[in-house]
Amino acid sequence: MSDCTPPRLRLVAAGESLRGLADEELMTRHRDGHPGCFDVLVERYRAKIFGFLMRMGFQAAQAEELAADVFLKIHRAAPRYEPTAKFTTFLYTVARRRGLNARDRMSHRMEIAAGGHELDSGPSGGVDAERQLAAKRSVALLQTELARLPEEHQAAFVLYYGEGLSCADIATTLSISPAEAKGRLAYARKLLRQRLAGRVPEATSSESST
Amino acid sequence: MNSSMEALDLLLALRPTDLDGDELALAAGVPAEQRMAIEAADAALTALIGDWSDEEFDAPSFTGADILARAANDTDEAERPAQLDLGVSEPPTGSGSSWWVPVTLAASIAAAAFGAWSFMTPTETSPEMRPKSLVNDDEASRIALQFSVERDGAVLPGRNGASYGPADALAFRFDLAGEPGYVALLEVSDGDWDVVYPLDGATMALDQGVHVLSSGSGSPLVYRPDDGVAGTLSYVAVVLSEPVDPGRVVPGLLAAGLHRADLWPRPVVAVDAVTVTWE
Repeated sequence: MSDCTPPRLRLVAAGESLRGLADEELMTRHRDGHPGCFDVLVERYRAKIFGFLMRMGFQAAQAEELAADVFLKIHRAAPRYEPTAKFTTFLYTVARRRGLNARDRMSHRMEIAAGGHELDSGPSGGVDAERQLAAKRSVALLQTELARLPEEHQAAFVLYYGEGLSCADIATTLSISPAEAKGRLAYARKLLRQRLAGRVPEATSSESST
Repeated sequence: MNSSMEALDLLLALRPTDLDGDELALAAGVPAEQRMAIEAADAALTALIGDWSDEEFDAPSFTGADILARAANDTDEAERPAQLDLGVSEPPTGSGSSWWVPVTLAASIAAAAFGAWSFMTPTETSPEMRPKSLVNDDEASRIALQFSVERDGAVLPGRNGASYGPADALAFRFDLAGEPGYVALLEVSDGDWDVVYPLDGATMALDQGVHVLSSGSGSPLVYRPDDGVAGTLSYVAVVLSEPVDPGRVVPGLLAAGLHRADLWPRPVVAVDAVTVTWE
């Protein structure tokens, strides 16, 4: 019976089963030479790593290049990989280091205006359109102020609120204690609140209510 | 928002799964009026963070196959800044490369108490190539990075500044003197850097003595470059007095130069480096 199964269907089934595997299992199998596992990992995380780098202040073209570099480093580190911790903390550790490395290289020409992101004007006309544009501007302002934070506070903030990592995972990724991760989050929030006061209308009103 | 409110603000802003028992109790004990005041004061920032985190980005177009093809072609020749300052008269030159570690066993650091390799002659050093006295005067740690070469089943002493071929693989060991420290091994090529070991942002806590980078079974981890790679790479052992992510201090360390202990960022206390050219 199995001899009648078209090879194509077998391949699809194999791919589907890989997608059901945990990150650590995929990485371990990739380390051991199993084909297809790395593809699934890249597909699963390329958008997240790209988003992480964008939120860390890189332009889209830079972020895409760096994201590819991150996966290249992950692949090259595969022979040394041991699933002693979550794959995601390993992945974000590599991504942050790649970002640090790149930032150090091009700090003299890194653009942080509007958080490094282009702000399109959106649809014109109408109250909703104006609200959308105002919201976009506020987000861009937040991104700009994020880029001005000390890197260690920026990273903690982006990993927590942007990437949804837990404080424990942030602590692992940044090689700090969970308490320090929370401290960095608190400090980042404090600085952002102070720096956005008076510049984002809603933030102004909230500050004035205290 | 005053300081006492700020302290509570974070408790209320964190996901409950990130709060420990004491913090959960503290958050639950915040009077309703105070909670409402904090939440009202924080509403705008919370909404703004929500909008920011909801922003979606188009996924990059590259695939795993693209990455593997790039690795195979060794096209990672991105722009590179100034070369690593080893404090030598003629800094090494050459293209960068990447590394494979063929050993797939559980990696760990272990005291060198096994195998003839551990007791071999230390790495031959060349004064003109090897930075000397790479130690912060304020600290009492000192490290010597040594390596051996595996070739066709034989183990040979590693020679700093030497050239090796595709049949060779390196095994590293650290000789730490003085105070215990936290050690990481870096790979540096033309100013680009990566942490070779540990992989996860941690460091290896070492006491004084000789330690071999080894697998869980006790055999040394061996390293060799990708096939077809030629160029000069430096391997840098960094000793930290605190267990911070070595990635935080590497840019400052490389910018300062390995021979400028007075300019090293804290908590770097000792450094040693070897350079190898792959043919």
